[in-house]
Amino acid sequence: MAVVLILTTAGLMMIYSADQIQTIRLSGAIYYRKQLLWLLIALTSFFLISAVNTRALEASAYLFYAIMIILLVYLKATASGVERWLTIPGTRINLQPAELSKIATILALASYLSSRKKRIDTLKALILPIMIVMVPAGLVLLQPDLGTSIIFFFILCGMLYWAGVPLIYLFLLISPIISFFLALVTLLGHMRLPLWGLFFVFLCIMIFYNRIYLMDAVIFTLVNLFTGVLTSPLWNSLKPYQQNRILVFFQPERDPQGSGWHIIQSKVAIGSGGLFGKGYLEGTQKNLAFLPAQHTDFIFSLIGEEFGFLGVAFILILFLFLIHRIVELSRISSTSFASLTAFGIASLFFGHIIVNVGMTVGVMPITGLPLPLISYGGSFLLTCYIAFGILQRIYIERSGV
Amino acid sequence: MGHRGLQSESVSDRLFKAQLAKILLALPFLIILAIFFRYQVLHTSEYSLHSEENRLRRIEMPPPRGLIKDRNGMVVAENIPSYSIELYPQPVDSMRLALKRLSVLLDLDENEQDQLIQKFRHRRQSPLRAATDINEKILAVVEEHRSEFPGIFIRSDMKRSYVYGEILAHVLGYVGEITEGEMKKERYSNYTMGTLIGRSGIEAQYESLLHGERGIKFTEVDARGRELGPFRDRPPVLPRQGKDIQLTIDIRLQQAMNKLMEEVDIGSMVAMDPNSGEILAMVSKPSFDPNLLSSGISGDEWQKLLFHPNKPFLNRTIQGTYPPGSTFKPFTAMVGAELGIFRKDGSGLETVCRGGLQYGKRFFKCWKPGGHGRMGYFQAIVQSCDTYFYQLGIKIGLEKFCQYGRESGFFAITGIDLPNEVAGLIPDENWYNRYYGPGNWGPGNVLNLSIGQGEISLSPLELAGIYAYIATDGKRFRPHLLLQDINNCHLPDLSFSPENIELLRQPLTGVVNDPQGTARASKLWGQTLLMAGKTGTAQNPHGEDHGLFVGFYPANSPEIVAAVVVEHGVHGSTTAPLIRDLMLAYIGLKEGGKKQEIAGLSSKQISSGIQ
Repeated sequence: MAVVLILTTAGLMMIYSADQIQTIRLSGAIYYRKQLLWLLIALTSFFLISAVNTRALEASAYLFYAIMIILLVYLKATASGVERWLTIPGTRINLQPAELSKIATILALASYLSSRKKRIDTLKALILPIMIVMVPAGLVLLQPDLGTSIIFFFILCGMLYWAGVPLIYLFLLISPIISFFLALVTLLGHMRLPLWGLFFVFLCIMIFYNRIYLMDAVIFTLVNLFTGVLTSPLWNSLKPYQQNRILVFFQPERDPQGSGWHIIQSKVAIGSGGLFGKGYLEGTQKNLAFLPAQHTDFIFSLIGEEFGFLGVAFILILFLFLIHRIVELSRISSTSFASLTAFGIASLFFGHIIVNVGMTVGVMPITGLPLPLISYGGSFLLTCYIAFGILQRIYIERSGV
Repeated sequence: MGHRGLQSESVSDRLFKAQLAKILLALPFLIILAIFFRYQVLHTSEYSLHSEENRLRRIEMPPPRGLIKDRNGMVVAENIPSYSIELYPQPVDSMRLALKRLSVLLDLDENEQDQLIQKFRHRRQSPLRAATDINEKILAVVEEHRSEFPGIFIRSDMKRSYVYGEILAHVLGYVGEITEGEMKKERYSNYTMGTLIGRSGIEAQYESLLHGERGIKFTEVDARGRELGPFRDRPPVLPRQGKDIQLTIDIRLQQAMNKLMEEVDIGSMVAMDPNSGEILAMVSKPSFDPNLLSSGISGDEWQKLLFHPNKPFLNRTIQGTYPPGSTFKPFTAMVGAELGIFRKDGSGLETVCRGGLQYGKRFFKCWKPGGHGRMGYFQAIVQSCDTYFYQLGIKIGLEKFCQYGRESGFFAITGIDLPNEVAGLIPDENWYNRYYGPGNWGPGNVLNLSIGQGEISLSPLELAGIYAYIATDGKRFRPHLLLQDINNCHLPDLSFSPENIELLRQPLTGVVNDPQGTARASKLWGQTLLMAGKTGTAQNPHGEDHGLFVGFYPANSPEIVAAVVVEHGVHGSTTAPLIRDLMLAYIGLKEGGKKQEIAGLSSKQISSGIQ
């Protein structure tokens, strides 16, 4: 818990810093104060949730899940364009159902997986859990929110692993994505090697070597073959701005003033921070508004700029420690539902951290995923604290090993 | 261990799974940490540099232009602050909105707004200038309501101010902002955007002296390109002001001349010191207000000036050429003397004028219908008898006449330090052959040329140059406006012998002072020193004749030569009083007694000139 508080404080500090811009601000919002208010709400929820028995959580998991799905569908159906917010009637509090649906999905998946008697080692058995995750993920993707849907994928893989699905199946599950990615690289000709071809051969060997059920083997092979082949028409069907986003991910220098700007400026902020950083509130990239979205997506670049490598390492080690603690908790928890839930939450945090931090140095695409506990954003802070509330409850109910 | 669903799993299995998970989850953290190490520790210096460059903007500062002063040190062209409204780069839509808000204040119609938006689209990274040289009232309103105009800032520049406005317009010329096309030229390689550059007159002629050297300052900017203040670690290189230059013009004489020319619609006058070639005053009518041009004139007004039928931009003293008429007769007389037609006392050619001369099939009229009667060298010049000069012209012959004309160099450009001087014209046989075709012209043309009519033409400055030559008995100086060592302005002597030139002094003095003189009405009453000069009428096939007069003072040891052309002024005798009055002004300035009076007159003109 201490780690959580340190990270939250660090987050508030950085949001405060991000507020301190020398340049003329166009929007007058002071994020720091808002975030404090959100923290109050989040802490209240933490205590409320931690009082709820895990059995009650397990029992209401599907209901909660269903409500979230309905909300997402409702939002999709009513809102035009990219509206992701849901305003609680009578208040000025805006909620993002997409954030809360992560928790709902974790609980639902944990509930389903823990109720299964048999070991999951066929594709058929995987279909239902995949569906549980894919429905909200798909709805979120349609919003469109690529980042959050990636997180669902992290949750799925993490929880399946914890439920005992063989690693080879997880690998096969990811394989179409890797296929797509490599085919794209091959297609765009950034590397001379036909990477996708090599991967496909490797995949076939893996399938043969691990003696997968014939049916599953055939399906996975075909799916990979299809993604590889279909990448080209799929690429061409993308809108130019989408293509551009992907291209800029590979080569930020393509468009230093436009889409590549964020990555370049973020790297400059991080790189110029050096070992010790420029000092708190002294970040010039931030001060002069070169850093994009410095309160949210790129807050980690700000840490890099103001506190240098040491600050970065400190925060990352704290995060790693946090994840280890959660994994440890899921190992010692009393019920498999609790155990799976904890591991799902670990996956959720892991995904957020890796994608967000990776993004600031250009190894992950820009998706707009916030950094847990640190980025500005009420809904996600609330989600985090609800997750911690659940974890706290699981900890209370742990089997006294 | 009441695990449902995962019963098959043993505790050790779970431990293994957890350990594996921890390792798998830690791995990406380590990779990312390694990436950060690479950026922040191994490559930090290059990113620091980039970060520095990010917020560092090199801003070139145009240098203040050098001042221009008159011969007595009076400032005639200076730099005064001017304010313009600019908008920071922003998305096109919000730029459009900002312009719309400003439009009420700056009086911008939709069309102008669109034009500005188009301009901004071309240069998205730099601020957009919405209005230049705004007046103080608007400035005050904008300052007061700054928060209502986001993204706006006020820039102060220097603009050129011409203290005497129209009065000295053709001499000084005017300045304008350098164009993008010009910036590409080698000559302007050290110019910055927005620098003023001389467009005509002295401003253009001495551009390299007046310009100075640009400065560079380093300012901190934010991501939107807004300047936040000077950059601490890089001191600015201050611009070096252009050199001040001093002109030969006496602004008081210039004002007096301008006053005299007020009545004249189209015409010009120039006064110079024949002993140095220094131009003392130079006026061309109509004139223009150079202040209008230096502070951004509207396209319509510019077009109006540019295509005005009276051509206000034309500096007629150096760009208008006219047949010199009778003012050219002294030249004919000089050539006659050189050829030995006259003896040392001027005798040698006498004629009786009966109102003209029959030559071949044509009768060449004298301007005096009744004729002048018996004419000798002296009276022929004093009374400007055409018949006498026809005779002289016949004696000289076309070939010799034209040869002297060409070799004298009087018809070539004087080399004055102003751009685009136009040369006069002296035809010769080849020219006639080209122009009329061989056989279509006769030797009779020399009759016209010898009285300064026909194809011959001179600019007022060239004409003044001939009289400066006569007044100083053959000294030649390049006319100039920049005050400088006159040794640089010596021109090689001509072949005319001083005695032959000297021979002209008496009759030219007579023109003004003899009871028979054509300009006797312009005698300087009450002056012990005399003015000499010669009237002239340039035949104008398109309308009324042009009146000319060239004079110098004092007749015996001249200090000032002045030439005037009044287009459609009918006759030289009507223009002679202008030169007389100029001489009086000159005398007044010199003697100082009347200085105050003229200074009083000047100050009134200064105030009217500024408005």
